[in-house]
Amino acid sequence: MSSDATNSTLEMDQGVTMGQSLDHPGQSFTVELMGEKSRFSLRLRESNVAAFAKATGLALPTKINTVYRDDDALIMCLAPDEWLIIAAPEVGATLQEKCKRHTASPFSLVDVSHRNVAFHIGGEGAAQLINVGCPLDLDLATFPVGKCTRTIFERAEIVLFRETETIFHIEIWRSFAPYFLSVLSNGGQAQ
Amino acid sequence: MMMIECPICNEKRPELEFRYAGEAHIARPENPSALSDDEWAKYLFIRNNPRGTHFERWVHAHGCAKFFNAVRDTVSDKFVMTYKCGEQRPSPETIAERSS
Ligand SMILES: [Zn+2]
Repeated sequence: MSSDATNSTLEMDQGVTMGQSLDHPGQSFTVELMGEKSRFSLRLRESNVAAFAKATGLALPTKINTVYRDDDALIMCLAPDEWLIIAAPEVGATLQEKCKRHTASPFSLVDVSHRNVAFHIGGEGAAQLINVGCPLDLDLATFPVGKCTRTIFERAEIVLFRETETIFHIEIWRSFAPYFLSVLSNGGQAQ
Repeated sequence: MMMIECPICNEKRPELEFRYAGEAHIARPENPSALSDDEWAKYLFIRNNPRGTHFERWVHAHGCAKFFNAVRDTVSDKFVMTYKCGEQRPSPETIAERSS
């Protein structure tokens, strides 16, 4: 891949702005900041997962690094006792209410909506672009559609989720976003 | 880049995701107040530093964030095997088998 640096729409001096995308015509990737989301970090003992799912109606995936998706929410299992739940902003309150229905055992539900921002990285070259800062093998055989994981991108921690063969969803702490974009931008130009 | 197998994620991940967390199989004394200062200091500070097979704790800091145990050769820096916390220290036979 190669790109025209002057065409880049990722201007770091503007910080992170909504709705901007880096699109290289004739090039095979796009980077797009996703809109506002509700996010919750759920911590729950493994032995209480079944009871929690039954009481709340939330289909928690129990296999690590897998997700459950429906129209309301995206639930990622990041550890045997940890989930990241992402939903539209207006669904957040409902999710919280649902979780309160579980009273049989302790759990922790923390609203981390504004801790992260999320990006869609799409296109044929998406995996290659992510590999600029992330050493995971993103071949479809080892990182299939529907797989998610917490991992590292250069010096920043991210959560990486493969939505489709060519679209990745990346969650990153808000203050790291300009750094993340600058690495991606440099990497995109070098390719 | 060195790859380390996380026994919780059940996959090999780049070493960048991991942090070392000291020697493994060090049990906290049941009753610290019954210990002499020397015994307590020994529990806190005195560690093996073997040349060769070492049992150690690691944490998958930028992954599942869980602690686990590993057998690593301190000469070759080769990870012989990893296993979950709470599991028995692997036998010399197991280690020899995995090392070969
Ligand atoms: Zn892990």
